[in-house]
Amino acid sequence: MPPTDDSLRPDIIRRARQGERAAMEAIVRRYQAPVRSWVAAHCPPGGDADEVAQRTFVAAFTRIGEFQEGTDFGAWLFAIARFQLLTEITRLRRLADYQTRYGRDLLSRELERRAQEPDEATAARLHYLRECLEALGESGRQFIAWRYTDGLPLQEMAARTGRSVAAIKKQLWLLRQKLQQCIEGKLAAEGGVVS
Amino acid sequence: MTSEKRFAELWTDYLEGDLDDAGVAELEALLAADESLRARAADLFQTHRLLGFALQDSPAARESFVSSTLARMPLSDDAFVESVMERVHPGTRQLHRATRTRWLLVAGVAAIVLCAVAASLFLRAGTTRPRPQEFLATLTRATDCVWDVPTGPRQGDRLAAGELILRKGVAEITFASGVSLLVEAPANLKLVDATNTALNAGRVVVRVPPAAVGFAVDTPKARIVDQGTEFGVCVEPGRETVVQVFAGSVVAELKGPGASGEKSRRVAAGETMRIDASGPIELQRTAFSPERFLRTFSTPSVHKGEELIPFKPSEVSSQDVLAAPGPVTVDGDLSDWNLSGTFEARCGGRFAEEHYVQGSLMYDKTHLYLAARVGDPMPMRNVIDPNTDPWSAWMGGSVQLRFSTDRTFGWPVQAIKPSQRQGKPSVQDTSGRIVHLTLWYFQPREQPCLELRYGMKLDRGVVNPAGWRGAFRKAADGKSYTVECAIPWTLLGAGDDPPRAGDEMGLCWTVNWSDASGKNWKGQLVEVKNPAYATRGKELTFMHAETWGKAIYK
Repeated sequence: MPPTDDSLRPDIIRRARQGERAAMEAIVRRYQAPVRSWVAAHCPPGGDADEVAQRTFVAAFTRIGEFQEGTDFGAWLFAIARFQLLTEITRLRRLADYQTRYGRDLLSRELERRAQEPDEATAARLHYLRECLEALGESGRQFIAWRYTDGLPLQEMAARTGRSVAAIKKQLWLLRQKLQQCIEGKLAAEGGVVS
Repeated sequence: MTSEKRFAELWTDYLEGDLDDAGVAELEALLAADESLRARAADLFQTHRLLGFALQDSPAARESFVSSTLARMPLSDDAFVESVMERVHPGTRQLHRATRTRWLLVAGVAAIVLCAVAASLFLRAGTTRPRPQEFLATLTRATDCVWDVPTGPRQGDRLAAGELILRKGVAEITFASGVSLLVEAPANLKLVDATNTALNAGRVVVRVPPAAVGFAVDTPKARIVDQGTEFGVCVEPGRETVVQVFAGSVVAELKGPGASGEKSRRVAAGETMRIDASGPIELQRTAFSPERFLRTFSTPSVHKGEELIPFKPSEVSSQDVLAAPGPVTVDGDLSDWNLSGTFEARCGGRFAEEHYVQGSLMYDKTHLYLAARVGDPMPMRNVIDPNTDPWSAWMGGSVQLRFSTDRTFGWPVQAIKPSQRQGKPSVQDTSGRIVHLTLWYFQPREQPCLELRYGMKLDRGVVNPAGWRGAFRKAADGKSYTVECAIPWTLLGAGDDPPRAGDEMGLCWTVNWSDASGKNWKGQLVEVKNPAYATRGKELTFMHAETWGKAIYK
């Protein structure tokens, strides 16, 4: 499985319970990546993943008095994240135009089901995704960076490469497929969870 | 068409925000009919989201998340003091704590009055815990900004909900969700919450990442709801509101009864809608105009006027590339260099004294080494971000090399930009051993930057790739800089077959100067050229490799 960083000192949570801001900051730094990536992977279309992640931390510190020392803080935090995500899903479903914009939310329901999975699944996906990106080749990585880092419009990518927008879409589909297959191959090789 | 192919089309359009209502229905039908396809779609969606997370992850993004989260914590006593200060001086609402602290020191004489007011507010507040400051966004970039109050926000300040009036300049506001607003003065806008902004006057270009779809801009006449896109909104009070979509689509919802009963309309990429301020509210199509909005922050341009450095014919046709005498330390200090192969060239006329280049190249089995001392009255000011606009970076002051690393191409190199060639591109035109290199110093992060592009089509490349080393050093008198770098041959298409003594291959240097802004190009010097092309004709160096001079490896 991917390496995990579990370097939070035992006294940090106790100090956070006493209201020490520096301790809270240390906890946010330690858990921001796993919480944000987990929420991002399970938040339905139209949801604000980082907003849910922030609410998770705020809720956790508001209720930190309820945390039982000696138990698994990460598991407790993820339980809060699940609750916050459920709240976001409910909010979105109540939006008048959500059904129109995102259809009958079959995809959202599948994501919601997956939100009950152990969080290692997302951590593993993210870890292997980074590895698979490295293996993608320079040209492929450039496309992915244009799309996900720079947020370039398809038209701009087409102009930069002298290709049609349709060709760019096809290229993105192929790259996403390739990454998906690569991740699933690595998960399967470890006996990990694929879906 | 197979269902697999159709799913690929629908799914890609879905992720790119290009799927219309009929497409959404078709995709839903496919997913409803096939459970395994539904699982596959969820897999692809999760990978899509994780790609967004992984590729937008950076120390700055992490820091922004941590600070935004901590800002929402209901904990510190000074949150109460801050909330009191905001109620006493609403104009300071948008200030970062550090700025506010400075202001407090200056306003120390008012402390007694403030304490009295604070006590009064505290009593009124009773035992209710004060609401902590919630920061929504950050002023990530600001150029020549003048706000309605002297204590207006500065670059890097975090912004809470509230009104912002920009008198002059251009500002970029970035929300924690990644939504960015490029605001062009004069403008009056109000940050409402994480997903809503109101624009009362002015121009804003909104970019919304996939994770933040649904972000809305309210104008007096309509609410513009994003569908995963980039769009511009212009409000001219008393005249009209214009919505222009550059990518994806938005839904414009009218705030009153439309003349034709229409309540909303989807506006797609390449479309523009106008809503007149007078008379009944009505959406009207109007001409799409790319120039209507400022979309790129750095907006580099060709500086026009008397100060433009004129082109000067080339006087150098070849350069010796020397074997490195030993290990090269890349630090901007050239004392470990063999500089006997250096060429010098100066701009013409009155520009000669301050605008020049002394260029040197060395090599060994693993690296190409480049060093240049560049005369520049305004050195190392480039503000063009390698992460967002590397294509334009040359205009903010840079050193560029174009060269071949394939000895079989000989000299002169016959590669041409494919669009300039009659017929099919040649092997040379698209070769990864034809390299265009740009070096610049990104002043805001004090970062040496390298962009490499391959082939004459310039459609493949990398920015700040792993393995390269670069250093810039400004001269003590502030009138020149030295750039030094080491680039592995593996990044130049020649990892398995680096140049060796006796090779003669194409090479051309270009030095670019900008004005004081660090983004507007004001001229260049092109040297080491084929004597047949010493004067500028229609054959430009980035399109015709035949114009390049010769690198002679010693």
